[in-house]
Amino acid sequence: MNSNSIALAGNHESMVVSLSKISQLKPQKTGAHVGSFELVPLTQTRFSNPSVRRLIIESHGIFVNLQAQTKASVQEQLGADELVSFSRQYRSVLRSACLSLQETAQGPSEDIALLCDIYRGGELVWSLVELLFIQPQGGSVAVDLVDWAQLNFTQADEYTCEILKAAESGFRPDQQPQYWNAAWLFVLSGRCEDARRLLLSHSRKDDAAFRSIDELLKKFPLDALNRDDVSAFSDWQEEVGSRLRNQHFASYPQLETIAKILAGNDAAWGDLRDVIDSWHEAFVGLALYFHPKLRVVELGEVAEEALRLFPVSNGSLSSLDQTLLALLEMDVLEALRSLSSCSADWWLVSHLTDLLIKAGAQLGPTGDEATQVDLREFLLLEYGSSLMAHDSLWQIGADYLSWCPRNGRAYLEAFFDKIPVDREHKALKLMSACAKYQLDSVATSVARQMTVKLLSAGRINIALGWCLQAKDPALVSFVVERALLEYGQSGLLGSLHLLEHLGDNAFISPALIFLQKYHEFHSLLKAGELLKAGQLLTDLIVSKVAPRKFWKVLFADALLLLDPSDGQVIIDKEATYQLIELLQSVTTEVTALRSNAFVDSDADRNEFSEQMTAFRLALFRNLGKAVCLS
Amino acid sequence: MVNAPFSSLSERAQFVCGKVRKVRWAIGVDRTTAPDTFATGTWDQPVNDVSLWSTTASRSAAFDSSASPPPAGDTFVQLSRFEIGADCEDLVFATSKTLLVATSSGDVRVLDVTPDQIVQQHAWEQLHSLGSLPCAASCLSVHGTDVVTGGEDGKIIRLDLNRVDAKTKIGNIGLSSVRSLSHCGKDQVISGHLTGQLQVWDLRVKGDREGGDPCQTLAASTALDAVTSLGVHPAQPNLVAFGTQLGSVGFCDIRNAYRPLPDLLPIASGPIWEIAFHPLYPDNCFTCADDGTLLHWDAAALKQSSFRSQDASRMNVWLLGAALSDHVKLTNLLPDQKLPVNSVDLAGGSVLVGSDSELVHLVENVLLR
Repeated sequence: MNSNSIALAGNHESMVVSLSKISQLKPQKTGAHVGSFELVPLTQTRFSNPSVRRLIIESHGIFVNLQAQTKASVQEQLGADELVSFSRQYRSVLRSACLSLQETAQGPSEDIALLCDIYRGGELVWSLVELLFIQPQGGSVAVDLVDWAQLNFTQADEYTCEILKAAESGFRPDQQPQYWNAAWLFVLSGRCEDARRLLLSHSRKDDAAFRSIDELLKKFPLDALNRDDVSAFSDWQEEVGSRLRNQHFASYPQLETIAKILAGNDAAWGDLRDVIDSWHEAFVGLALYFHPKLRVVELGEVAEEALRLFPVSNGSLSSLDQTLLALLEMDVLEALRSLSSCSADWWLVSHLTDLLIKAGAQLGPTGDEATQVDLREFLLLEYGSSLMAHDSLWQIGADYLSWCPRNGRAYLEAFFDKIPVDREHKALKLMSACAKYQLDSVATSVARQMTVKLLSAGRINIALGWCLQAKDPALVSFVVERALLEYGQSGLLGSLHLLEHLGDNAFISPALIFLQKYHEFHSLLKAGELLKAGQLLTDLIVSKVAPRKFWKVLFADALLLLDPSDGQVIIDKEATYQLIELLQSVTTEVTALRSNAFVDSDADRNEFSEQMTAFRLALFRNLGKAVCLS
Repeated sequence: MVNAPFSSLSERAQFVCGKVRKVRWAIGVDRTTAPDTFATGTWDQPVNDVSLWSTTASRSAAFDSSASPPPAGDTFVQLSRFEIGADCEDLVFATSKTLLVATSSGDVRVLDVTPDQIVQQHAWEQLHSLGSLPCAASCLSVHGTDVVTGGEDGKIIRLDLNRVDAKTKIGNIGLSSVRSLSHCGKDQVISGHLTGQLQVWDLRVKGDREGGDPCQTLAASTALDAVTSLGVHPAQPNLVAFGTQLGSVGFCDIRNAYRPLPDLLPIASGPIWEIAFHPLYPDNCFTCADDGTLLHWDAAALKQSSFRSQDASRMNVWLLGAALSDHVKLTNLLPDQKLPVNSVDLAGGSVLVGSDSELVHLVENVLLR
């Protein structure tokens, strides 16, 4: 027979899958191990990439500043300028992450390339969001789009770089294959000055047609649009149109195309059919030259028009395109939904939503505040959770969770409970974080875990230090009783210095107070203060505070004091009476009721009885002495 | 009141990918200026490392063509790296080429450090353990060839750099976990414990097999407030500064410990991870804490007698208690820091800082009087 067998093992971080081939079941199971591999969630490996890690940490700083500043501002509302500043900070770290990924990539990697694409797409989306929702409104939408294009559409710049490089090697710019594409793309993005400069490098730049187009490009009235001086813009477009009709550019069809674009002439699109890759590139030009007066609400229609002119190749829009369209149609909720499906993780969507809500963007139906708050919280919780699941990002994750007012606390407690507490420095770090977020129960749990670990290793002294940090009376009593037992067996009372140092902290547990007093008794003995020691010991015995199994140790101590070499009476008459009375009840309990409360086993009961007999004798002798002396 | 930093300060920071537990300047030739290189040790990563960095090397000089170049815009250049696996708990340069690292698996490793590579010379392994499992060697102190390490198991162990097999135990079994350690002079070591106590040990006393008793025990803070860091005054080794788990700082003179210790000064809302006097300007002290604060304590103003009473006129400024807290100038050198700051080291006018935001900061032109 030959069968395959799979074994699985996993924890919250990863899963190991192991494959074996079983060749024989009887008489003995035999086979061979084929191989094993580990499955790790993508975020674990992704978050270990230095560029991504840096993005996470830097954006955390921006996020925390944003929350703090919002909270501190009037009516918890930040001004548009401040919001734009934060938006730019986010975009800046996103851009550096993208650059850093490309720079540090060692060899081609699918995941890195994917991540770069996602970050670039993220930048595209974020800058559009900033333009539409965060920037103070006013000024021309078309002009804003030109800025947006310049930031994000770099194809023309790349072509220009190639052309310049070729020019250095002596090739004529206008003979480069991408020359006209670059010029057209510049014009489409409204970068007329850049287009002008490129055209000036043409060998025929002094021809009439070239000079004509140069003049028109120079006069391009972008700031007129900004001043809402639409008539200046229409006049200029009229001029372009008339020169076109008068065949100024007949000798150069490429220049004619440029003129058509500038004049807002539909025939331009036919010429550009093979040049334009996607509707984005057409979109800005369409808005600028064909609908210069457009308002924000008309953007959606213009985008649709661009899509009709340049439909997507395989018929279905990518998530990125869907996001952009949704934004242009001012449907923020839909945009966020599409964005989450084309993002690598929750980073982009959560930070963007948080910023949008602070900018007052309408995410759901008007008046539905709850949706906004819920959405923000949901996304931040998801992002925070993905960080908490990673080995070392728990501090940052915890911070994000702490800014979720409704469920953050519950998530914090649940995640902190899962963080392994295997070394003291980590335990101290966790306790400090618990104090910061006021998670008292988790702090107690951490301290308890440390205590239990130490008890299992038999280090009761150190366990005593940690059980105090747990602030759990039952745990302290437990540890103290173990300490006393150990003393009873080994005769070594450790933690001496700690017991002197406890102060009021001893009051957490009666057992601890007893231990403290018992230590004091030994100190008095050592210092030779026998009378005080005797008094203290009597009090300790008579108060019945000590754990019962420890009483035999106390009795042994008392026995020593009752029989000093110098014949002195250390325990006085009153005290002796008290001890006799106590001893009586103990004897009854042990002999008549056959109780094992004071001993470890049945066998020890006889030994204890003998000790009690000796003790009783010594007490009566002491009584006699005390009476004689008084 | 904590002041904002002076505008003349210049700060450079670099992302080093890995939470930085300790930063240490290399031992420089000239004590008045900062050396060119420093070391870092990371913690809480799946695999931790110790690295040597340069503050001045140009990228082309430091790297040959086979190695991948560092990203553009890097302030510090990583020269060499050594994986230690477990967390770095403490880091000390014993000589300009020898670096000692204490790890959370109970080891103390001796590393030979050069710009080309870091190689382990030898290691004392599992010096500290709880039962059969290793536990962290939490702190390290070096004086000449004398090395002392303290651990989570409450043991303090004395080692010799020149004799690999020499291991002496200091202190008996009754100690609580050792969180911090420092030599104060050639023959004395002071240890700070989880239970808020300081203990002073005389290294000349030959203990019995179980170690000896400390020559002094001081109550630095309460039993629930660990002593998380220690710093010894460079000119007066009997003057010790300590930081605690709950964010307080205290100063004490171990020669006059019978006097009540000056009050603790609460300055942070989290553990003080490192406290250090400036080696050349000891009226300046630096603390870094879990709440992200990096404080420069400038006590130079207190030298004027107007702040001091008659009998306090000859006391070191740091021991002035209330007068210190009223008149010391505190400046937060990293006002924007959000995550815990773990380590600080000083050389010349430069302050080197390591934090949980996986950054190493270098603050230069710090005003020192």
